[in-house]
Amino acid sequence: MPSSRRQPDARRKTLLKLSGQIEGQLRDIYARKHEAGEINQTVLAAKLGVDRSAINRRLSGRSNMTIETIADLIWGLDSDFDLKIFERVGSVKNSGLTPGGSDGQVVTPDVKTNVGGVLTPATASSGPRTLTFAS
Amino acid sequence: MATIDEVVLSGVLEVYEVPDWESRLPINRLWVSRDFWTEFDAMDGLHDNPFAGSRRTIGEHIEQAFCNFRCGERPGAGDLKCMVPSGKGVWKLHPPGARVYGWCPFQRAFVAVTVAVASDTKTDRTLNNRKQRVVSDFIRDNKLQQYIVRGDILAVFPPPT
Repeated sequence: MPSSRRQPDARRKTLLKLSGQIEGQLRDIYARKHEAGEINQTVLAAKLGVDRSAINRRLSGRSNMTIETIADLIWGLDSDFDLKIFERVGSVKNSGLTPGGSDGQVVTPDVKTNVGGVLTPATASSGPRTLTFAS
Repeated sequence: MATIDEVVLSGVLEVYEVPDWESRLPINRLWVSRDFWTEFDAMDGLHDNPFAGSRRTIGEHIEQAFCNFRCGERPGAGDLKCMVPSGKGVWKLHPPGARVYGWCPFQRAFVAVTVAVASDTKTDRTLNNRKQRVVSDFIRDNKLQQYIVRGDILAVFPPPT
């Protein structure tokens, strides 16, 4: 049974999760490339046109990076990314999801290929939110 | 002599379980002493304000450093440092704004025993030594002297073969 300690609230957890994932992945990629002798902080700093200490701050989590800064680092590390933001399954909004198809079938979008058209909220009412596809 | 498992069973140490917001799988081992969390909660400086420009408190940085240690391939350069004299085998983790003192009982493993605010170690020149002694005493009191990895970072995180 772990000791109880100050726990972040849901809002802080979202920040910690996002920053942890971004910084963790950037650090791991940097570490792999550094180990292979492909890059170091000075080279990366020169590539991005910033000071080496700025790179150190970003990789160590000492700065609150903007989207542009994160994109710069991803580019500087010759990497790419995949991002998906979704509603929590257990949320009130999601529990109110109803089938959008006329035959009563729940239509699931293929988020990878975007097959199925654009996902749009059908109503702006205060009732259960209904999602349908606009083809 | 005791084993780490015995000390865990006695409740003095506990395994650091990654929080629910961590999506990576743990690959390294990390234990935290019971007193560490008591100290962690009692130090308002760890929880009051965001540290520097990061928007996270020092306490949150410590949690993230623990997650990074457990789930990362290896700590970043300078994130895990051996304290001088290195013969004592005491190490410290360097999360932003904090120093976490402990030791490495095995390769790819760390035991966190005590913590300090980094700025306090600059103003109080004896603080690092006192914390190092706390770790050494902890190892001795729990009879864990045979579980100390000595050497540099390559001894704790050997390069892949």
